[in-house]
Amino acid sequence: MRGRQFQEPDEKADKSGARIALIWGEDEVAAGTVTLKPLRDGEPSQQQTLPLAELQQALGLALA
Amino acid sequence: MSDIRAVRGMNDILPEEAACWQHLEATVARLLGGYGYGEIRLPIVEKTALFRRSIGEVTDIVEKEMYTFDDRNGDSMTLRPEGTAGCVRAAIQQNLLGVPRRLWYSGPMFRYERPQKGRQRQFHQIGAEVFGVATPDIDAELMLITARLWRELGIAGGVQLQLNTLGSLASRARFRQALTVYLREHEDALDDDSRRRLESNPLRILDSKNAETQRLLDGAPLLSDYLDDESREDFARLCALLDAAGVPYTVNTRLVRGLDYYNKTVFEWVTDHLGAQGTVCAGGRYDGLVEQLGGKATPAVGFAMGLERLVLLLQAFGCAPAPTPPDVYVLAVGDAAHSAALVATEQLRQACPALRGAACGGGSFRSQMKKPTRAAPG
Repeated sequence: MRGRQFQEPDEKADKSGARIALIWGEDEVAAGTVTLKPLRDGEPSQQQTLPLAELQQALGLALA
Repeated sequence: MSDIRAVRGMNDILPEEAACWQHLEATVARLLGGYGYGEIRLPIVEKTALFRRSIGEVTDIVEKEMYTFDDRNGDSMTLRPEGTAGCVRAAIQQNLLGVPRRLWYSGPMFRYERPQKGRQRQFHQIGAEVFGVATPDIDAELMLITARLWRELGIAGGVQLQLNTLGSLASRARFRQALTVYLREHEDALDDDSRRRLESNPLRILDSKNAETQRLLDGAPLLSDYLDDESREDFARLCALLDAAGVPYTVNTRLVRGLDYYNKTVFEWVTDHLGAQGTVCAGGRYDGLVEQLGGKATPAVGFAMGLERLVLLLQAFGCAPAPTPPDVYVLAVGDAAHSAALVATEQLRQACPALRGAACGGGSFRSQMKKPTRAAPG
């Protein structure tokens, strides 16, 4: 799952009200990673793919 | 299924609106708990005789509005049209009387009325009842609780307190006699409902919405002229307590309430923000009801508030909370990714119990990106 698919803001995803999307595609499964995509304007971080072990910490920072 | 729809006047409450109901119910429960009221959970179905004996045979509720049916044993049952009768029945049956007792209840009530905005056939109330305290400080407490509730909900600017005292049963009987004599002299000018009530329940004529009847009442004897000394003193003390606590009120001498069991204090919180349906909370003293239903004579006072109307009022005042959105939305493509996402998010929930996460179902990634609009929060 490549980042380019998420570069255009998806209005409908946005309407869920969620601040962050957690994305698993084939690449993430193979690599044991997950992609975090900020859904709201003003979220500080950019989309990032990181190891599962770091998810909790990254999410804590992103949601703080 | 297309021909099977909800019963008229019995509504679904959808998740978007349920957030407002939860906020309202949680606020009331916290507040009543803080005043020492214990929750009692009562059956929705009671024997019909309970309501006939408590609410009164000649009332709109008992005559026209109850959902009454014979059960399979042939016994007459009724979906409760209000909460006080069942609460009194339980207090007697469960031996809760003898010491001062503060109770509250919540749930659906049923009346066959013409549905309109803020009036449904299945409607919801939260009520409080206090048993074993005869003095008006407890009447004042109930009004202070509700006044505080409106402040906490942000709707205090939209409701006003109206009070009256009906006096003792004896003074009510004297007034009833005088009122009947007066109205009988003008019987021709009464509306049909009022003429029918002249024999059975003349006090209810004071409630009449008919303009001609209301004009006639301008010359009628006043309830306040027939009050016994004790009722008069208790009412003065109640008013003094409200003054001291800084709760504004209006005395409305035509306020009698639609139920037979009230004596002394009756009160209503009314609003002019919801059109014709003005009452959001109402109550009063019913010192005779416990004994009337077979218990030991016990003074009692209570109120019930209508949740449908309070929800409308919260919305009108912009005080309805929005549904809490999820923190994260989970997207996964392919079976392996679904498994990985399920396991990983489950670990995440374990580590962060407060995390609000919504997961999409299966399907293509494209359709998943469209699903979050329908995701139910939490």
